[in-house]
Amino acid sequence: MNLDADVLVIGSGMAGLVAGTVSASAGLKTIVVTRGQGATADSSGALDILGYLPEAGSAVGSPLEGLYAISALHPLHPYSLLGFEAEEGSVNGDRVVEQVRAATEWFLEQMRASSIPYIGTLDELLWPLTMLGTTKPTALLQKTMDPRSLDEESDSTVLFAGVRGFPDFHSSLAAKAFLEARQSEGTGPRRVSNCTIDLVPFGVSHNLSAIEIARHLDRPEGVDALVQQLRSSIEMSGATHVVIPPILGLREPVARKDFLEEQLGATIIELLGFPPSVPGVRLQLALEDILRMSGGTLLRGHEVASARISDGRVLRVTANAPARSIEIEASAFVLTTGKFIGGGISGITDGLHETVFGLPVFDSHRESTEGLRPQRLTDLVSITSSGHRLFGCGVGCDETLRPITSDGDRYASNLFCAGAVMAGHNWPQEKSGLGVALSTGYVAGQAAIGKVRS
Amino acid sequence: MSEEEAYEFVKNTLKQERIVPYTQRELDIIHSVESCVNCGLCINYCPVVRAVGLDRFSGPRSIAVELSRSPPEFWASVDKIYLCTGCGTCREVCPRDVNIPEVVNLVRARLFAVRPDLVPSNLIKTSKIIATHNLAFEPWEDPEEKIDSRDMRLERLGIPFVEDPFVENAEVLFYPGCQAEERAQEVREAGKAVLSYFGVNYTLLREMSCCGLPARLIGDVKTAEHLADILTKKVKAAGVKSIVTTCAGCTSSLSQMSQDRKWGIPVYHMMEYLVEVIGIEKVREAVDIKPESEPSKITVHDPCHLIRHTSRQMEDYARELLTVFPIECVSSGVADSCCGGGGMVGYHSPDVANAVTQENVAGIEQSGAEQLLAPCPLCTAQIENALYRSGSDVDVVDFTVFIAQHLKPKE
Repeated sequence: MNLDADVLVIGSGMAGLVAGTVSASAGLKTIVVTRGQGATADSSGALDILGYLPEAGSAVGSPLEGLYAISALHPLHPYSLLGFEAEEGSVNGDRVVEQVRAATEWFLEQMRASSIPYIGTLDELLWPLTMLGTTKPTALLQKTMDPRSLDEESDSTVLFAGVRGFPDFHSSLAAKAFLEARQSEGTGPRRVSNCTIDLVPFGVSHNLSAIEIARHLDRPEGVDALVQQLRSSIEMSGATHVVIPPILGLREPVARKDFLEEQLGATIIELLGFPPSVPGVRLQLALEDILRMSGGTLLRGHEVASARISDGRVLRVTANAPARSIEIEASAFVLTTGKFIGGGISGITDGLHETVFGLPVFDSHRESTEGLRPQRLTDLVSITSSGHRLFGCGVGCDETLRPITSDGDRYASNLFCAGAVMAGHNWPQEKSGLGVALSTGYVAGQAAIGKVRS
Repeated sequence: MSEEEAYEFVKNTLKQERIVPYTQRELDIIHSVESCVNCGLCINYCPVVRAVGLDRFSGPRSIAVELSRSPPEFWASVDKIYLCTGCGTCREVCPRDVNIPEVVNLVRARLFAVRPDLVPSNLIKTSKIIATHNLAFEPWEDPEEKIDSRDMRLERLGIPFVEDPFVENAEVLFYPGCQAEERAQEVREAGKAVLSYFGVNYTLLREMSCCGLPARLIGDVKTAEHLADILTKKVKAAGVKSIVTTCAGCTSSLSQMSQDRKWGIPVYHMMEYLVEVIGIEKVREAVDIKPESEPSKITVHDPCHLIRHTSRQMEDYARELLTVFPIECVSSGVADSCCGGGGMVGYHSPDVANAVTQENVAGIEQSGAEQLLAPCPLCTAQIENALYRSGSDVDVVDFTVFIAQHLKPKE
């Protein structure tokens, strides 16, 4: 049986779910079709807007400052597209900031009512701690990860608490890395210590995964065990702050943090972790919830395999489930399939390909990548300040977020792009991944509404 | 030695080495593993990991990146690989579309072929039953008793009896599946009652044979293929234009078979048939509603083999069908969570299967529903047992039975 909608969003990461929610909130019949989850669910849960300018080694002063710099220096960056003024032929930095601010405030507002309220603004960078004991610049954080009290209170003692049998986090190594970094900066806490606690969701203290511990802490007996275990270590170390891996439950992490702080009299901070990430899943679930609550439909387990295009319009797409196939018709389409993790862009020996519409793939400077092996787009050195060219590659879009052909023409009048599938932002280097996804998803959702109503 | 002789020679050494070469189809599955980025997102969603932890069941990622590589790892995987319920949740959330449920099947196939000593003994026993009777269960010794059991179920559930139709040139083949044929006979009877009610020209197979899914999940590829051969012959001989089944596993298994063996006919689950072919308006006219005797709140279970192995649209079909009843359909929050009854896990590790079901039990109990509908007799049995053991009074009914119970008497 076939489906129809006003707006069909292809992909269910940050960009897709935001575009879908914006469209559904406007009362349009919206379907978000998705094959699987992607980089959003795999993320640390931190929402980066901009940490570093493209190809620059030192961090920006604030996301706001960074956005103005990008507007001035990188007109093809997805952020810049949001403020491109066609009459002037230039990027209006104020317009860029206005758009990103609107998206950010909308997101904070949406999350305020969820189980994972976010903190942060465009006006300052946050430097959360990671499970390696290092820090990274970001803009918005789940409230449980707020690191600011560590910097504000210089007379503090920080306790790194690991969980026995949870191999992703080593509390003494993290504590050591943290201490070394703080000493070289001459800032931060007076004392750092570490401990390993026992939490046994299934009666054994080996081969534990973050998700098991998180689910264990969703139950009262799990939290009670955590309180007991931490209490003696806090007493011994005199800790004012306890940093733990991101394990404070899937459902009500803030309530867990508040309860622990009340019981223990110390500030509890979750670290940023690696995939498989509990905060990433929290974010994914919260975004899916807001889509549902806005009246949008999430159609899982369907891969969009082909599209029917006529007279410069996308008419419908074919979506395949494991044993069925359906056609979905819509007035406007938003492509948010992500890059290499989400599967929107695939890289094989004969080059990079956009996987749904076969759109041409460009690099950050809008140069064609046609025929280039992905290896040709990487550096020999794995971590450099300029990043790998490969990660800036994606679909080229005009200022309306419509993808363009290799001749620079619009591919279709009713197709918009958002998120990592777009070219022009080297997200791992810039720390701009979810911020671009949020901002372009927000704007693409509005563009799709405009298209349907016109 | 000619090239062909050399090929045969090498093939024979593979046998000695206990290596079973991959078929083309299996190679595609293996290639899907190459795109695994090792992110472990699947671990966060796997219902078996949720139920028993990563130490007991190492999870989908470990199946993709550790247990699927080569024979020695296969042998070492035996205490993990049989604990997968085959629900397909990992494949559905996977960013890279890694086909883990099928990787599980191909590893089990190799264990079964060359190290049957390592396969759980209950599965070996079951595979023998399947191979002997072409059914997933030992048939009833006394046919009279089977009829008595059927009649008792009909009476208790208030389903009208319809004679088995064995018709030449029927349009539709009704395929109830082993569970409804041998155990949950009310589902088979309900399927007939529904199809007859809507005047569908349908037939049953004179001799029911299994779709092969249980054999495939055990790893007994030979029997699975043999059953597929038998069924292909029967379907061709019946000359039907479509197949309707009431079982979720049969739906996905026969859909795949129809495609692989080029039957050229669609396979429908009963719900799908009612929505897509009969039409919801006809169903609305056909059902009789007695609000005073109905449960006021109902919740639905969506079987993995329908939603994750066939299509997520089946969720909508179930809820669309329920709109014809004056009943509130409440969410349990766990409707799409594996019931634990899949993957033949309950045959050898019932503790694991039942631990998985606990998630469903908790959600169903807090939903406030008086009745649970499941469009699959296997899920129905698994959840019904678990609810009963937990002391719950939620009634569990197969979806087709529910429809059959509510058909207006014909004039």
